[in-house]
Amino acid sequence: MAKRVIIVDDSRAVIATAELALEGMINSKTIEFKSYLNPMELLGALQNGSENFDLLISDVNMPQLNGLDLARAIKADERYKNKPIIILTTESSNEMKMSGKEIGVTGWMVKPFSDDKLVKSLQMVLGV
Amino acid sequence: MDKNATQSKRERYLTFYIGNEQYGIAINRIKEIIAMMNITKVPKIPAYMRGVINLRGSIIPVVDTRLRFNMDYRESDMHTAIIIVEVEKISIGFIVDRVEEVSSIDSSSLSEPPKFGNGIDTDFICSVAQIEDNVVMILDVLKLFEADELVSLEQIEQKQTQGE
Repeated sequence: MAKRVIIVDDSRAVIATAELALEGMINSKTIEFKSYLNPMELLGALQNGSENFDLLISDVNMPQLNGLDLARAIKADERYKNKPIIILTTESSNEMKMSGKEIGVTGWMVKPFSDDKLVKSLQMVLGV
Repeated sequence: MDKNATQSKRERYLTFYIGNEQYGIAINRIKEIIAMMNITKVPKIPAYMRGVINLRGSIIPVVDTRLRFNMDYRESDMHTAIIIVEVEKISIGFIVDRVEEVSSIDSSSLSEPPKFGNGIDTDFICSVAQIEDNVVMILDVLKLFEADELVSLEQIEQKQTQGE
């Protein structure tokens, strides 16, 4: 069964970059890839049960909802509280890491990320 | 949930905008997408070549795709991106206004590019695709560069690596 990986980022370029990096895993059906530009749309879909994921990769600074607040809202939901979330950020301040830890995010990735790093992180988190 | 059927004839393209038009490049040619960065000018190169970038130690010539298409120069903004493409083992960066997405396009929805008559060069458009309500022009990156231009690109690369 392909693992469902969701990325949410308000930048189409970041989404396309991730999709290109993961092309091999998408082609081999190791993962299925879905993207959202708007975190509110994702949150709504998760809450009404029309969406699900095995791994969520989320940007931090998005106009509609901050990635950490998104992670907090998702983790508060019984259905998703044990699902891994990786946060994408341009700077990884200690303060941010602390609040991420408190929310229960699995890890951080600093942008721009290399294809290799993204693939390895996915393999590690998903065990694929 | 997602359409995974009939994989055989589907190819994947990175789509992007230049002005109001949407273009696509087959992803097997694309090495990466980067944000706009500092470009070093190189003398005596075609006007549509903006110069070279130093990407993690590799010197890569950069083409302003707008200028290549005889469109007006545009200042870069937060959406401007450089798509790094490999042509004949040479990496070339194309500046585009905005990256759109990676799309799967069924070969049956590709059609011949329109002919505009003499004097209008549409050679570098290899096909036209319809994605939802948009028309996407699929670019033939090889044809965007004539053979002699590839040679001069090689020279630029060499000049830069040798530190001139």
